[in-house]
Amino acid sequence: MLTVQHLNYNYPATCGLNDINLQIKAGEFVCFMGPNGSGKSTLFNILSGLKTASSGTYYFNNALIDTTFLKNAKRRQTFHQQVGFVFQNSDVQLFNLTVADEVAFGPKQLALSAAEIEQRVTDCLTLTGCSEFRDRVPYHLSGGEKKRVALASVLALNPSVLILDEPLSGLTPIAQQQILDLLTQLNQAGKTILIASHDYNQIKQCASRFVIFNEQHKIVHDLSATDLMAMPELGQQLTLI
Amino acid sequence: MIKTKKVELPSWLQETRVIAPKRGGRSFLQQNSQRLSQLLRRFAQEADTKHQPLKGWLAPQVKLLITLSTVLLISLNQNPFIAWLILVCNLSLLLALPPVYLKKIIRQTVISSLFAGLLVLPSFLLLPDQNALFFFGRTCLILLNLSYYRTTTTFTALITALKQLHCPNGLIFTVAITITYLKLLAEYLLGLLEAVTLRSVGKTAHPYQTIGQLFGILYLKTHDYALALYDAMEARGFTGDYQKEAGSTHHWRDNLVLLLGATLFGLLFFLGS
Repeated sequence: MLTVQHLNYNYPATCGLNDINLQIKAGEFVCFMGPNGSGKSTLFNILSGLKTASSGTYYFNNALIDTTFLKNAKRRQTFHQQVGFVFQNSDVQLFNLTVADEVAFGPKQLALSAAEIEQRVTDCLTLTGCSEFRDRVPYHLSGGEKKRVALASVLALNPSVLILDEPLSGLTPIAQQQILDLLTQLNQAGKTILIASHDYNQIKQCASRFVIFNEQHKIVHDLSATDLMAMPELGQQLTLI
Repeated sequence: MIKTKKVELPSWLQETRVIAPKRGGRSFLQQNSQRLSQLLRRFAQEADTKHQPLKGWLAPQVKLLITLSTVLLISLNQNPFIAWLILVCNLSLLLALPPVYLKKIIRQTVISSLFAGLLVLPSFLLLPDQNALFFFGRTCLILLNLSYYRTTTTFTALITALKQLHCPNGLIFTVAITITYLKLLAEYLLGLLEAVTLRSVGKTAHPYQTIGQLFGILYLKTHDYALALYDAMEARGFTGDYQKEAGSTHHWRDNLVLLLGATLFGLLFFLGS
């Protein structure tokens, strides 16, 4: 479903990604781990089409995602509908006047009927536990609430791939577990989940594959959850990242 | 492991249907997003690893003084010979720069001069005399000097220059905060525009409503940033006074340049008036 070959990304003064090769099949639950600044967010930005690689290729459903692809509005919109991205900083992801408007923003553009839009809004708010503040202004919500609203607004588009950049940070343990349970259910329903997290103990209960970055912005390990279980030393190291 | 209440996924969320977008076309917000990221790169003044960094051989305050007095001299000057002389000096300075800086300065000067030319054009067409042409020439020369200063000076050097020149604290504070804020707010706005791009999956019924909301959020953020930043500065002992940096950055060559500059300025001022 997603294929990345010899991908490099350079910031003006530093390297962002260093020769990344990755193949993700539909329905996988992949956890990306690594130290701060190792390139997880940069890779997510490329996978979601916000950035294009300095060199290398990225294919989504056999289509090459590059500047030419993203310049075509129709193809770009279809791509964004299929790949949902929850930012690390949810503060910048919310720009509507109410939480309900925020979640309805995407579905409204899909020309769905008013009843369908309302159904999606209600369902997404219930799934993420945001129903009680549906009429509040997103700007004034707490960090954890904003994170959940951001997830609801992305879910409302029904993407087949869900990319989440540290979605559990800033949430209470109960809210974290709710989000993980929801992600597991979505994965079981066929969605591909890519998540960046620093909490190995929590994520190991649902991820089926682990991709680990080092400080040189390279992938050093790409293991299934079962293989990782057989390597307790590496598991111990991951709890410290 | 914490036990949570299991929720049922709605049927539409289990479908794999992709809804075809109704309309194409590059949106106003996306075009601005690209422009904003270019502007941000300029604000960040990130170290360019590909090119050799510029070494300033003059103290920031001297450089600022020289630029301001040159601009003043060009503005007051009525003698074409002096304008030519300043142009020759400027071109000699440009020759000493690496090509990448030279390209930037020339591009900026040409673009801003074209805009200035558009403003002067009606006057030149109504009264086609030498004065309008000379005025335009002097404007281009001022723009060249400002562009040279802007390209070869970092924001930090500008703040240092203002401190060394004993500018009022209020002015330094305003300039420092404005520079810091502009970058922060531009980054915030860029994030918002990216979020809009990601969820723009079809025809937007009211695109200008979104733009209005973005500016509303930006205004709220400006207010919050201002309060938070000032609180953070106060918490770290900021009293409203900008201390002059310990150890002077002034060298003998700065004094020499200042002396030469002052003499030349006086001479040219009398010749030019």
